[in-house]
Amino acid sequence: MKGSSLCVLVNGRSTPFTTGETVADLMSRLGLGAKGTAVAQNAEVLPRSMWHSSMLRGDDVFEVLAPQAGG
Amino acid sequence: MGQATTDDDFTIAGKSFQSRLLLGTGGISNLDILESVIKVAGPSLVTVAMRRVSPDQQSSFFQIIERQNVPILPNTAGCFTASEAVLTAKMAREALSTDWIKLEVIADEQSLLPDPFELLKAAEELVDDGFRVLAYTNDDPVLASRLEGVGCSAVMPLGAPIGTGLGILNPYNIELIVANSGVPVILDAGIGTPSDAVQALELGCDAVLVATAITRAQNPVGMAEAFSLGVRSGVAAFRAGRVPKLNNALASSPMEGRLEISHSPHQQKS
Repeated sequence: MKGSSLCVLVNGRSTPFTTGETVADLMSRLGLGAKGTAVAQNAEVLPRSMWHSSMLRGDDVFEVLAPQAGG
Repeated sequence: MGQATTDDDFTIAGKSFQSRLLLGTGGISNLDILESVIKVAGPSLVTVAMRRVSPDQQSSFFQIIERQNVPILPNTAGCFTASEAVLTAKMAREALSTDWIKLEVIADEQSLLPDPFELLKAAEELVDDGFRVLAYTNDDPVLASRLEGVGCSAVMPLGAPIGTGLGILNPYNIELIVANSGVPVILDAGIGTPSDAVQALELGCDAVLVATAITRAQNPVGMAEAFSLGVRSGVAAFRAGRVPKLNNALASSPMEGRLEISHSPHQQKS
């Protein structure tokens, strides 16, 4: 049952993940991460160049933002 | 875009711009109209908000904006605290590869007025982190001066609260901000019609930012064209120098050489 109880929060939604998953894996699995997207992990910007090397940890909080019409 | 009116150029943070119109994208009803509006308006910068994404809405907006070949100015619209605004700005820098940010920190959802304390705090932090900060501010000459003092690249005083279309409620304060500012002044918020934009430029503002007045007009593309014409008129009028306002009439025709009729009722001798 590896990792079955582990969750991260992505844009306010609880999302399960498995041990060993990276931020890049998570973005790919959720269909996020297109050009023009930024990720913050626990209120710190995570550069795209680090998505592949950043492992998910239980209770991580992610914000995934992109430009939209506004302002 | 592409007009050879170099006399009209103005500069923000060392970068030169031709059009005195900055376009906000808030309120646009669909992306096809936005594309046409951008083409017709020819803005120097197009502002965008940063929002949470879901897979179905990922990239169409970004792709449309990107292919317009207009510099993108991300903003921190919707942030209530300095910490929210700073993180949003850093995420915008990561997403869009720009260190320019239109800084908005609002006090509440009703007035949408800037919170001066959080705004100043966020501005200082972002400038220290290398951002070019264009600060959306109240029409307060003191606050505008403080924002310049912490290193903002431009100040963006409101004409009236966001989305109201009430025009410039306090032209006296806008003139004071212009007179005291060493950085560009861009009138932001409250503009309802091109004549409001003309007034802002005649008051000495370097540019205007227009969103709602264009995006929510009955014909956004037609209004974009009207604003494009308006800003050129406004800056030309400012450069030409308006006549002073007088309390008493000043004849525009010479008095010498006029006919004189002895029985004129105004010249009867007592």
